[in-house]
Amino acid sequence: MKVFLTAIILAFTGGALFVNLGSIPDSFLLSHTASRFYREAVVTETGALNTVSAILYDFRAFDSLGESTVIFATVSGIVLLLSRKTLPVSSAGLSLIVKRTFGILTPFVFLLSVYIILHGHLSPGGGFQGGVLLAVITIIFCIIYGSSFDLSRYPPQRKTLIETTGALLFLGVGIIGIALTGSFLGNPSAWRGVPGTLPSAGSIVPINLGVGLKVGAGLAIIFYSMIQKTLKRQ
Amino acid sequence: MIFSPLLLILLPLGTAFLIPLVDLFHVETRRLMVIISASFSLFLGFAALWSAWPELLAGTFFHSYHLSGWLPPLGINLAFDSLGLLFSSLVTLFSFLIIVYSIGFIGHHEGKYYVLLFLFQAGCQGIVMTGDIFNLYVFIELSAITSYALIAFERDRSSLEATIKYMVYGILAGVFIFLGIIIIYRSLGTLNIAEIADNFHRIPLTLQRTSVVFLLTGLLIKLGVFPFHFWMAKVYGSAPASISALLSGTLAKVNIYILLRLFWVGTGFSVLREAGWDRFLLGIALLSTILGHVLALREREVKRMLAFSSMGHMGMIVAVLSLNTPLGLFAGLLHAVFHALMKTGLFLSAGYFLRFREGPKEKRFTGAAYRKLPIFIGFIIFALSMIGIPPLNGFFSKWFTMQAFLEKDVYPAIALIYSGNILGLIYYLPFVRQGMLGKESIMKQKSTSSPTPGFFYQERFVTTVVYILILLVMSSGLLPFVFQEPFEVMIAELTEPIRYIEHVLGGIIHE
Repeated sequence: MKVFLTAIILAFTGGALFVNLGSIPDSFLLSHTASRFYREAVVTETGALNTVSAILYDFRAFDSLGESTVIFATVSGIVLLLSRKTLPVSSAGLSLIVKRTFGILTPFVFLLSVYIILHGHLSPGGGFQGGVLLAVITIIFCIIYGSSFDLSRYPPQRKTLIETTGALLFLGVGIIGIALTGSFLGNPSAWRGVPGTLPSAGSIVPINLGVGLKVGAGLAIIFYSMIQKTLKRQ
Repeated sequence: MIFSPLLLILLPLGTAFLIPLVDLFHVETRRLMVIISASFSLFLGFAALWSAWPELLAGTFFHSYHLSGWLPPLGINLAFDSLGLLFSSLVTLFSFLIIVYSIGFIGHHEGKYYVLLFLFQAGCQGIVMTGDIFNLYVFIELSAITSYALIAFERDRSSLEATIKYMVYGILAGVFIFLGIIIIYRSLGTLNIAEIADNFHRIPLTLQRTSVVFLLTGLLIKLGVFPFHFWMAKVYGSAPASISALLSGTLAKVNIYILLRLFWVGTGFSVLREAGWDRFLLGIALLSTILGHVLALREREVKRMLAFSSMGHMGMIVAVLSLNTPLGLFAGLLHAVFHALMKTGLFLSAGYFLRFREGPKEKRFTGAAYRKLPIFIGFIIFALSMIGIPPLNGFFSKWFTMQAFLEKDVYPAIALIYSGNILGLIYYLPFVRQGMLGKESIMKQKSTSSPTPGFFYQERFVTTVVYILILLVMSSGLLPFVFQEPFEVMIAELTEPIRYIEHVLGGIIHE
């Protein structure tokens, strides 16, 4: 009965939504919208070839600051909730073959993540995407080599250090923007360079780097805090 | 303004980023940094209010800031008007008081606690300052996520249960608000609140109403108004007292601000009125008032009782605001400010007593009067103010609320608020009695769970904050007319959204 009632209500709501959302206009009602400006003037105004990066880290950089801060808050919350007094327990890791294979592969994972972070203004990707790849390294360490290996090579204190460095880098670039352009997170035109080359697009590159470090270390901390609890001592 | 309002967001944000770094090296330095940063942001808040006061009274106060240097439709802007200034001052004041209180109250995991508290403050400041609807959503999420973690701070069974409950409701509310924003953006092509306000009438009527329904539902869940009140008692009852005070005193008021900003300025109140939804809002808010007071009657646990009382008062604020008369808006804003003072005081003074005893939560309040009489008298003063006893501030806001309802001939509302007052007397009295039972020996100083108590861990901080709140409640009761002039300016801003639109978009070429 309850299921039946729920289904009726859901069907009714879905139908109402379908009818109402059908009346969404085909194009924006305003003619001078921001998205049109972004399409036309993104390269000349910001020096970035990747429009998404230009919107994320230049036009709406304050949103990205907020979003990466949400990740920062999540990391703090999860560490708070999962923190234990005991030392992290360890697994022995997988077999020798896997360990040797990943010994060769892992540097390339690192290289790829750095590439994606630094080329955020030229090609698809950027700080958030590259940062997630950076966090994979902790997962490889923990699963393949055991979490005690991760503890010794990449201790939690260092992760925290990297995370806060990233956060402060983002904030610092914003404050440099005040000094150079007069507004927070402004993109100084002196740094703009030649569009299409690696050191171009002004403050987008350092912001990407800051977000990459923040997200990479943050997700690594989340994974590490969780695995600490689930693995048994051997 | 002598400095940019942006600093009020960046200071807590930067402090939150620095705390983990400093924590790695030296714990005492971090404690010192927390105090310095909290005091400095209080100073900034006062300086902002002080320097803006003449402009505020003249009705010309408006501060715009273009982030990344892009003008409004292209980039994100901060639009800091007098309504924002009021709520920003509230956020600054209560964040400061609660950080100082926490220094003596929270004994463990302090590092992460302060990170989350400062991020919460930054999120709330962002909400009240931003002029961009998506940026508003980002800051709503920031304050929501930090509050999830803070509610679960004790990590016992009941607080984790409360967090999951709150998280489900919070995410649901977030999704609804986000859907409303998407519909508006997809129709108009702008995210700027002033531009939305200017062009909202151009959206097809059905879409206008769909987006309003989504935004309103999300906000009502966050406010805990009647059909969505299930999470409140559990959350306020299980969170640490300082966090319950922050949620009920600050976050609920910030949600009131979002309600005002979105429906009075963003969409224009006429959308609600033409659909007849202002009556609907009035109805459910009044229902929530009486339900909150009735449910509070059967609670034997002090913080759960305060939660239901909070639900009753928030319902009253929403009800009187939804009248959309100048007097109604005045009463609503006044009660929002006074309720924040009273409820923070109640939670903080109750939290002081609850800390001392283990055992069932219902019995922890016994013997409070013998533990520390001045704080207990403070609790009684806050309770009396809640009920609306004349020289205290609660009386004045209720007085204006009654007048606003009388003016519009909503007599049932007056009856409901009167009975709410009497019910309030009935449900506060058992706790006063309970506090006078027992002896001092019942409430002993619990050994601190802090590994390094240090210089700053002292009871003095907790009691001082409660005394400051008592002083504020009594003094604002003696001079409620200080609020009259600035509030009239804010009400003018709310009833004529064109002023906000001109301030933000003035001088910028648009259609």
